[in-house]
Amino acid sequence: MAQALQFPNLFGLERSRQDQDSNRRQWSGVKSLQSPAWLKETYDRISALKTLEENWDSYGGLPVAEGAISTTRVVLSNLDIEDMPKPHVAPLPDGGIGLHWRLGDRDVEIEVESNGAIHFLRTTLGHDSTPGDARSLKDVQDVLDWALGK
Amino acid sequence: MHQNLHDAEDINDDDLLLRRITPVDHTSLQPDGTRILTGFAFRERTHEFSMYVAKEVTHEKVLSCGSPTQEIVEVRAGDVRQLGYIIVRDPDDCDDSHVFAHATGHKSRNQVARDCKVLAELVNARKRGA
Repeated sequence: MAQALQFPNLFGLERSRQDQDSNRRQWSGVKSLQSPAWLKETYDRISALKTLEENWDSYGGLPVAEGAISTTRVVLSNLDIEDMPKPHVAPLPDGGIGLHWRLGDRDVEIEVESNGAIHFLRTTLGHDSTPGDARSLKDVQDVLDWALGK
Repeated sequence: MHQNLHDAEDINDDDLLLRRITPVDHTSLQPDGTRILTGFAFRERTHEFSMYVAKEVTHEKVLSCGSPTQEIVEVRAGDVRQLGYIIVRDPDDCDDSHVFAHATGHKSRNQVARDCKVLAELVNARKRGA
């Protein structure tokens, strides 16, 4: 719970007590006590992104920001993801980190910006995609649950 | 920032555009061992993505301007236009065939992400022979 309560600070937002209480309720039940077997490998991949230099993509991409690394780790460590397969981890050209999952015809891309803001893209293959901004861990959890068909 | 940009009329909708990707970063390994392109492959800081006109340059030349581990993917110019972009000529240090896709109207980060996903899935579909 302590980790989850630290999460909003990564967005650099000042929240009122009312907001904090609302988020505490919103995030309750999200934290998983079990870690998937792939989590350490994924953390290692995320840490390895630190070594990328500017122009890593040959199109002027920025190095991955420390804020994106720490936020991505916090997000993964606070979600109920033991049923998810290992995500593909990608650097983003603006210093963020992308996570990708595909389960059957359901495809999810999560983007963590260098400032900690999180966006998602939900796609049912062969149909249009639904993008959105994740304002809480629950929003991210909902997208992953959708991928699992929960 | 960009003034008087115009769509390159000499680039036909059926013309292919080349983009470098980094497989370890831009393709996602699937349980069956295949790799699929993700929308991240088309993302750029400026929300405008760079490509080269295939009929005017070789894959080798485009790759020579990137890093050794990169590969090329191809998209149709018409598919890029259909998403609401114009294709602007912008010769660069690598080759005169360089272009970038510029949105004809404002697109949010999320809208650009969705467009990039569409292009990635078109590449995946072509690879599957669909």
